[in-house]
Amino acid sequence: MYYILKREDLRPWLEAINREYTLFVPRTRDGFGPYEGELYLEGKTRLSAKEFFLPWREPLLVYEARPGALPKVVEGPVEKRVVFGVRPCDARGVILIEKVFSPDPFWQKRREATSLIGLVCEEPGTECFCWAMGVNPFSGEGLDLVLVPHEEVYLVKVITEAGKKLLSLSRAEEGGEEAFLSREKEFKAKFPVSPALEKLREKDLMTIYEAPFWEELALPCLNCGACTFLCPTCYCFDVQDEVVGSEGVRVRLPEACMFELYSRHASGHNPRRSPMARFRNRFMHKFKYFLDEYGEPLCVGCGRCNEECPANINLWDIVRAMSEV
Amino acid sequence: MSTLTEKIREAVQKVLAEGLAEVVLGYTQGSLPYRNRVTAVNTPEETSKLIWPSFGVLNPANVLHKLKGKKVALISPGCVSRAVVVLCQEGQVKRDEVYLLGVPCPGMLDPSKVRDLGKKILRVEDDFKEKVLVVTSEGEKIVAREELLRQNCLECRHPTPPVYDELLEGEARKPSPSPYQKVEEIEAREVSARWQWFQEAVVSRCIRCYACRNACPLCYCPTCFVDDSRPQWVGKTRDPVDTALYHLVRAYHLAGRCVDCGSCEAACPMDIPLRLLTKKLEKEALSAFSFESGLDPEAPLLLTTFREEDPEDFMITQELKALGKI
Amino acid sequence: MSWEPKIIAFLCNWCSYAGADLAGVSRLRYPPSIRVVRVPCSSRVSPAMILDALKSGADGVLVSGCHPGDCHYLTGNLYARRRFYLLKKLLEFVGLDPERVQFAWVSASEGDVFAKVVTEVTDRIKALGPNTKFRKVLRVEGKS
Repeated sequence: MYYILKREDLRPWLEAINREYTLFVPRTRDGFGPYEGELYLEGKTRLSAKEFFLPWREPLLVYEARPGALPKVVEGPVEKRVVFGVRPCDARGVILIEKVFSPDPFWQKRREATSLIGLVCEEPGTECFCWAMGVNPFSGEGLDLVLVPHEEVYLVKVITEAGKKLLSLSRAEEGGEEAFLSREKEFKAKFPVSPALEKLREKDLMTIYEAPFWEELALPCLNCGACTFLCPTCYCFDVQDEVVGSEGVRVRLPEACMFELYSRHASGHNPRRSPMARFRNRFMHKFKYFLDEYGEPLCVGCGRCNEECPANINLWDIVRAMSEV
Repeated sequence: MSTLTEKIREAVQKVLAEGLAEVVLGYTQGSLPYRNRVTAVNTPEETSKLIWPSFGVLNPANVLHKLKGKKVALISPGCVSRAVVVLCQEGQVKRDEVYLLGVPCPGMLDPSKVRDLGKKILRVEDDFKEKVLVVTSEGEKIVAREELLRQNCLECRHPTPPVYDELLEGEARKPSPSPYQKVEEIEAREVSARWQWFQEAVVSRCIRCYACRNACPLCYCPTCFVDDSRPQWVGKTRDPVDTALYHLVRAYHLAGRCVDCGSCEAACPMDIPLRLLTKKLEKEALSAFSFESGLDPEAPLLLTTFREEDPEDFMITQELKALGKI
Repeated sequence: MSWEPKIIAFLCNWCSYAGADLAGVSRLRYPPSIRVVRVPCSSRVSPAMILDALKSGADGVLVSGCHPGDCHYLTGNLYARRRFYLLKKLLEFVGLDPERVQFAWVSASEGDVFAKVVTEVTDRIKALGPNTKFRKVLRVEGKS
């Protein structure tokens, strides 16, 4: 179902949502926060919307550090919340992570409690390439509603019942299907899926793994966690015990495969000791292991890594090398 | 093409041909008009990819640990030369195993200052003296270089490398007359305002990606204190106390070592003003101990030496003595 | 009951620890606020140890060693002095109450000085109140 929302009706709608739910919006270029009036719609945020599902710190258990005490499982958040302004690439990221995380109860609770309102970009950002990774921003995948800025209005596509309910709080009127579909068609014609993906599917895993280009491409890499922490699809995590006095909390937090500590075994042995091996793993995971396992690359083309990589590593240099080896 | 780029390529060809080094670390064009990338050159044919960068924001001395056992030449403006000097002082690198191709540095431009000049940046032309031409999707702009320089270059005290094996001809920026202005602005605030600044600008923004640590040419510990688990000095989450502890100890570990190359700040994906912490320590080392890092490979390090007359009025016993209480 | 601060005191084995001992055997009174950690030398104390004490709930930290010239290892305290100077300046810079972290020279014969130092440090930290800025608190609810 398609609707039209006037641009001046956006704020009143957000206010209305905020009265009934906890509303999060992109507040600045940095990222999302509770709606307090600030609204950043010029482009995608630096930190992606994945933090609503894989938060920076997820308490799993609480315990008393004394003999015989039993740990208690932390009850996850139940408060209904709505996130507005999620870019379709970020929503697609949630779908990809869900392929791995769907059995996780903490993930499930967060998913059930959260509605996502998507916002398609006015135009692609400098480093964006969602289409190349097979993302159709107009599809509404992973979202409850998707908004397309179009002339003086937003074209709205309703994806779920929850989305329809949220939209009923606005002054949106039915219509705009034709404009929406033609925008989608236009986009698809202009921005094709990268042929590299097909090549990667067919390539032998070991051929890529043992290719000589890794050493050269990895040289400038700092092996920091900037790309993984900003990436809307990187989901690797660490579990840590935080203890103060006799109180303890076991928490889950994002972790980066680029870190030496990530792959270090308890024995001290590290199968990915060299910086190159860790660099290679990140891209092999995204463009070969995940692709082979789930049929899709673990990348949504948001371009955050390319934009923010301190060493100016460019993902396409690597995808190209991997697909053409 | 900038003449500095030509001079560098020529000098590097010679370095490789004469066997002064097996590999040369320098910069090449990056994936965007306002980004450059650190690169290694192994053969004379590859020298054409080297450039003198406008945006050489990471210190290539950081890559030295990946090239252990090879004789490496570095294209060295002041801060690269000084980082190598500190590595020599600390026994990480032998002076005769590196070849410093010194460049009098005109200062580097700040990628984010240039990025913010337009919606899309199409081309950047830098005369390395006064002006930068930036072509954006909205049109052309000519901006004074001074306005686009990185903060650490504006505050640089040693644009010309203090130590080198060969110095290319060129005109360096003048050493900054007021390197500590930004530090002094923070110092002038009340205690609570300083804490608020630290929390808002540093602690709450940090995502613990350790880009600052990893970009630093002088952070080379095989196991960083952050990665210690027995004892675990620092928790791994974005907890404000753990994050504050990380930043304080990271900065402190660079006291008397930091050469203010600004790699940490350039690397930070969250735009944290990390240099202010290290710059504060640099200021203290200079004023209290007349010490500057990275000027002489033979000189002792700040914290492996002392003077009998070092200040101690900060100690409570000296304070009580002055008050006649003890 | 009035609040008593908890102060972690890193005392060097050769001078300040003996000074504290002397204060004890001399029956000198000082506030029961300190928890002593005996260290071989004041230069054994790293900034991470000081910050870890605060993080773990201490309201203040006192590091005390031999007077210059008296160090059992000849110069350990002189190295320490430089480090502590810089640490103190850095903590001040980020607005951590500078009085919470204190450094002292106390010799083995200065039991009276030790008692006075502990009294003074305790008073100053009492004036500041409990350490809330740099104390780690376990949160159970996740941050969205």
